[in-house]
Amino acid sequence: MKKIIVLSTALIFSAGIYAQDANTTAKNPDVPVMSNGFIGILGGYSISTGNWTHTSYVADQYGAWLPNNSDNLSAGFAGNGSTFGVEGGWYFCQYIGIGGHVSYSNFVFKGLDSISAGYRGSFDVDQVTTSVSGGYSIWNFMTGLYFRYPLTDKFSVTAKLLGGFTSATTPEIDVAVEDGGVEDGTFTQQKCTANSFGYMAGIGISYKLNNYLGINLQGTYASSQPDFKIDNTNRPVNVGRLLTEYNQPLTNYNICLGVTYLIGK
Amino acid sequence: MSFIAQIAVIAITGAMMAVSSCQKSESVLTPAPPGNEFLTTVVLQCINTKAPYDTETCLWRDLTPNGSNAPDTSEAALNLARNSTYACNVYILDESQQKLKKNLMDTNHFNINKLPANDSTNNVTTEIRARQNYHLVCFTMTQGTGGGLAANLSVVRDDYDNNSPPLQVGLIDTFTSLSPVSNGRMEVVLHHQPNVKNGSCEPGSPDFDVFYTVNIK
Repeated sequence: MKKIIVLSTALIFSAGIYAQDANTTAKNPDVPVMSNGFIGILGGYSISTGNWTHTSYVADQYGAWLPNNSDNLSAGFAGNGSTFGVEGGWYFCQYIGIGGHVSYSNFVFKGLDSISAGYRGSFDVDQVTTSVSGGYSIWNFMTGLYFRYPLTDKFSVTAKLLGGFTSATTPEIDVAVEDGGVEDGTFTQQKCTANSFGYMAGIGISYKLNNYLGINLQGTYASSQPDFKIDNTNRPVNVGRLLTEYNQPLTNYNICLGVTYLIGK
Repeated sequence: MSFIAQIAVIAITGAMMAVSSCQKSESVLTPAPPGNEFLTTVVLQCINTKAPYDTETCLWRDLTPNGSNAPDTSEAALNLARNSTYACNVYILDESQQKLKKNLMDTNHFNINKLPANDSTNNVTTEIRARQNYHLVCFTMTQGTGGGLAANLSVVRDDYDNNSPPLQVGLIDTFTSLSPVSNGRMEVVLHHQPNVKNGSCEPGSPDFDVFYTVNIK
């Protein structure tokens, strides 16, 4: 469904290019023509930062995971990922506008070998098979201020400062335990979704292809701190990594390319 | 320009779809590293609660866990007074790398307190205790003379782990003997019950499975 929406948007924008060529307005080379608003799509690479990227599994000499160790409690095993979103805004004066941003980001699970080795050591068994379904995912619904400063009639520098609602989901982790040729069951750290306030700040550069279409390259920093209450199933034995709550900042840098449809002027 | 713009839009859109579309699942199998310790020696030491001088020690030893030699059961006999209560400890040793010193290695001289505190080469009991949340010692009596050992000897585990609720471990036990004089065999099994410990002996796999002859006199 997501792909269909993106493709449809691209086709609409592409068709618009031809239509606008025949209708190009006269330009004054001294005064850059600025649109009143924009709506666009963006996507790119997300780089996770902070505690939730740590892959610590701190155990004692007998392999027991230490439940009060700060590294254990903060480690989130989040890797890098990708992001995709839509945003739009309206400039109520030459340089400042308001707008909204909706994006979806996913981050791969990092350190699967590390966590699996930790579980094996904690249970002191012949082998464990650790599986992760997906990774972290984050939805951002934000609104705030957009800024722009034209460098030429084609290029402009943009910036934004947004805040709003963030919904994040943790990955599901399944661990199958086997020892002495006996299957000792599979325990699961369930997926968990939590909501929180989030914010985003970014800066970028835009290039105006014509009066109605522009492309941009932007870098953003996003942060939120949902308080996850995590369910664990089939855990009769108090051994090994057992997270029931996770409350760390989910911070990330995003490098995105975007296409915008320019509105007005 | 329009053609270039169209190509740019399609290229950017395609790139965005590519990077945002995949969120794969992955799985990894982690085997045990080589070089785990062996459990070669199981010592059962029982102290008569009303007559501490009556301390009985029995010892089961198999220094070739690969099965090349039969276990040494020459000292695997426990002699208990009838109608008595004994406080018993199970000690687990690894003598595959380093045999116990001579003054500790038989039932007449065994004293766990004389093992160096940091002697992890020999004393695996500390490790089992640290991993008590998924270990359980089970005792099973087999029929013998004098009405059978099962009827004349009861075993109660006295130590508990850190699970919720706490479950028995069995490294510390109370043996209670009855009349009449009898004997039989007692099987002692250390069950490794990762993720399946529930208080019963069925789940998991055995870390050791040894037999003692028990004489109630």
